[in-house]
Amino acid sequence: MEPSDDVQDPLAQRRLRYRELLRNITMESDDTAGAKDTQRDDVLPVGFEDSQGDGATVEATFKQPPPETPETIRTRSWVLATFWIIAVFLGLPLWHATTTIYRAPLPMQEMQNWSEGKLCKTEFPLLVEVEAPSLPDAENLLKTVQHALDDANDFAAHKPHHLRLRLAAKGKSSDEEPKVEKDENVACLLRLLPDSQNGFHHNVQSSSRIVDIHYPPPSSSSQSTVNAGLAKFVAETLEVLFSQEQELIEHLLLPQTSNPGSLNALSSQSADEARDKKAHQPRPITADISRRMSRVVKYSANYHLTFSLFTATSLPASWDIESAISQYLTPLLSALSPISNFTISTQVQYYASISSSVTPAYDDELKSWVLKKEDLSSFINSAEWPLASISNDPNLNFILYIPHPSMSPLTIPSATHSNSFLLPQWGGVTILNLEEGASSLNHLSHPILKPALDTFATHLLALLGAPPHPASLPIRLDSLTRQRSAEVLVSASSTLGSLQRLVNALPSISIPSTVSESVKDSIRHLSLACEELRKGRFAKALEMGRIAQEEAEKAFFERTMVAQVYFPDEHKLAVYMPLLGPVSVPLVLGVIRELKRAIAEFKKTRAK
Amino acid sequence: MKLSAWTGVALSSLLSTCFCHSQHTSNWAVLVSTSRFWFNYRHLANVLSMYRTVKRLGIPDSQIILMLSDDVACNPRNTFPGTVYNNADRAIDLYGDNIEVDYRGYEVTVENFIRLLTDRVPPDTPRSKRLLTDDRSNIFIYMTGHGGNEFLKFQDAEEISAFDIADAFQQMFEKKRYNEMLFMIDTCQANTMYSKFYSPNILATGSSELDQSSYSHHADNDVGVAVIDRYTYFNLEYLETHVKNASSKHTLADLFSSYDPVKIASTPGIRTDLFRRDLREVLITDFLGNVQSVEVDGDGMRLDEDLLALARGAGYNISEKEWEEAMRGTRNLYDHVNGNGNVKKEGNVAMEQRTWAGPAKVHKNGETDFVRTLMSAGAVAVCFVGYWLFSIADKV
Repeated sequence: MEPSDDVQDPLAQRRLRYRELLRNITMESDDTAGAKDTQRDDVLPVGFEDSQGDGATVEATFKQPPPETPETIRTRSWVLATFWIIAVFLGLPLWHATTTIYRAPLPMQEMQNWSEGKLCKTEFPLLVEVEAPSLPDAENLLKTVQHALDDANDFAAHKPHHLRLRLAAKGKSSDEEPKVEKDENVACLLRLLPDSQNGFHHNVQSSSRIVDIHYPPPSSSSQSTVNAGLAKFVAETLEVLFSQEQELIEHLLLPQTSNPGSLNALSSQSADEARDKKAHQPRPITADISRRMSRVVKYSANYHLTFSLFTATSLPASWDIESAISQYLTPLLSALSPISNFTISTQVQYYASISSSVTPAYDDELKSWVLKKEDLSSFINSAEWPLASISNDPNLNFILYIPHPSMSPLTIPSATHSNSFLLPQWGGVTILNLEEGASSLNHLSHPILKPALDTFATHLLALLGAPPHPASLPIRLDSLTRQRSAEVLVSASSTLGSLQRLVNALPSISIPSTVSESVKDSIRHLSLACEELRKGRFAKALEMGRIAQEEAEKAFFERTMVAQVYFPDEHKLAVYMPLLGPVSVPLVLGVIRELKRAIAEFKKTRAK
Repeated sequence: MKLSAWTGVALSSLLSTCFCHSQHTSNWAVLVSTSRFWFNYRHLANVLSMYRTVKRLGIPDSQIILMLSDDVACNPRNTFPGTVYNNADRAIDLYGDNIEVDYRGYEVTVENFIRLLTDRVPPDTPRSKRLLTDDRSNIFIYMTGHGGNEFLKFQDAEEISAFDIADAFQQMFEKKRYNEMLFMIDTCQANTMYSKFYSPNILATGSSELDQSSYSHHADNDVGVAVIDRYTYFNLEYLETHVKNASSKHTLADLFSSYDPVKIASTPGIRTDLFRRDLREVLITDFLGNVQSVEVDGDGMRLDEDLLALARGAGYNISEKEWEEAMRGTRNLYDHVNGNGNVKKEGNVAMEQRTWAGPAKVHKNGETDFVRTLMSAGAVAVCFVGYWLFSIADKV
């Protein structure tokens, strides 16, 4: 760089002037150094020391500031201390308060225990009353039967059902009977009746809980053998009556006792126990049970039933569905009302075509259009039929389909009894063929609707999960109650288990106190339900179980518990560094500097 | 005849886990396009094509959750207002008169998507915006948009990471909200999106590998933008030409073997390790169609009872013979199954315990917590040293 250029350059001139000023102020003696300095581009000479070679002389060249007064030192210490105090006592708590995720305390161990089925040994004590007006030593007989039943129970390791026999009070049976109907403790009433013609057989009365057992009247010679035979038959009958329900409930409870879904550490001991249990009762799911289970809709306190009339033409224009329902279906629905409530809506859809993929073929032999089984699975034209429900309750659809006259009669040959089929967990469909020119073509009166509604009622019971046997409706409904209470118990406790695992596995989600309340409520109701079960009050148990389930679901589906954004630690560092770095570095360095000064001062005073 | 049918059911139920039955009773589809703006027309066309397909195969609108992040049909730049086409021949208007969009525009967010999956929705959410599935439901999830390594961009504003989706799926599994799931994704580096899944019974497929882009298939000059992505295009081509209706017997293995990486211009990925069934036995309609299993009365169900009369006091009796027959049927079955060692073994395998170790961590191979902590400490130290140097300079 030429000096002449320097002089011409206004910036350089300015720098030169400043250097001069600086030299005057510092009263620098060494001209060469100053001259050298003016050559430098940096205003603050970093290489200044190097050019001097000796730091001491440089120090000497600057005018030292006056020594700090003790006040300023004190003030500075105070300032530093204040900053630290604010940072520690205000900043840190604030940071902590604003960033910690609130996690309400949950009874984790208890939740886990529930989900593993440790806290409630589900029992279904069934009280069976026996009425034996013509039997002399009924007591004795009962003892034998009870013994046989207990033996069977012991053999099957763990059966949730426990049958207990009791002799009905004699003589007052006529007064007692309405009471028996009301008293849910009595699962069924056995009436032992002598019958000389048919030998041993039982007869289930369909509208009450009474089961008649007929036995050949004892000939005077062989009283004891008859008794033994009768005892055996009574035990067998009871077994048959409740076996289906029993299997189903065992199947329901099975996942609870040896739950592959109970993921986190089953302690090795309980795992062993579970294995032992499995070894004891290697009960595979029987086909019947799995078929029934797959059909059943999830338990809900309310269901919505939709009855739809789909007709391929504009006829029939109307149907008497309202009166038909109130006449045929309402009694059943009110019988079911202790278990679930129902709301009903109906609709009519004209010119409703079946899906294009369904192609019935004409069968000359049957003189009808025949639907194949694979046609049935896509029979519902869900793209065009308005079947979406707006209700929040589970919806069951019942469809009455009236085919086009050109395709009538339309039949399902594999259906033996009615022209209908059931869609598991969804609803039922009945195809109704109307005769050409019949008066019913314009309007479906309720006698025509009766068979269809009969079918729908059967479908409804099947969808709700009522066992098909025994014949007695009250016994079946009782059985449904027990089954549903087992279901809600299992569902509620497994939900609690899921929640517990979720809370453990996702440390970043917050748990509001409502969750903790719901969980506690759920657990309380679970134990209540369990107690009611043990006492044999199944309807009450179902009610408690329902609340427990609702609360557990509420806790699990708490809407604030959304683990929405996964933050790796790198992200957290990236968020905090720009904020905390500039704040914390001066604070820390300030302390270090102050300490150094204090030490230096201390040394100085000691040296003096 | 009856017996053999029952045996089939029993075997299949044994083969599956004790509560994840291979049999499903409902099909659900969640179709998500995540990108905004007119030039992302093709993503909406992708999703609408899939919507058309699942609807064609019988999934009702009430069981399809359609999330459209933008309304290209009504975009002022659309030469054909009110329509969306996925092909330059403009044969099919995907935005026809029978379309039900459940989440539209700015409702399509990461939060809403995760809420939808986990059903942690506000109490006033309508039924159409909820995924009301249970352990008998098969779910088909299709996503498309702009993605990258382990993320998918939503609405040009936020992104969902592979970990978030994996955690959401695990929560769904915990609450038994699905039976089986097919996850299909068409984005750049799509295969990274399903790499973090850890919940059982999920089958995943994606359009492209790590560091691979997913390309559009062709543009429509009148519309002015690309109208469909390649991966989706070839999926649709197969589905349209082979899977004509819901009773089609084509399997997912057929579909997957139809993918041609050269034509697609990226390498599609398939992840099967979480899935228990053989792909050659999995029908496409198990996920994309709605095949309801049917029970006709007469097999397994009895209808000759007058229930309604029953409720009012009359009744029916089953014959002893029939009862015994039913009992014998199940007993025989039980023996049969017990005799078959293989079946039993498989059943046991399926019962094995799974543990949920929490969300997957973003560790690189061989990287330990200690190393990571050290790195963090190093970063802090560098800041200090830097400040120190500057302060020295300052002092001088």
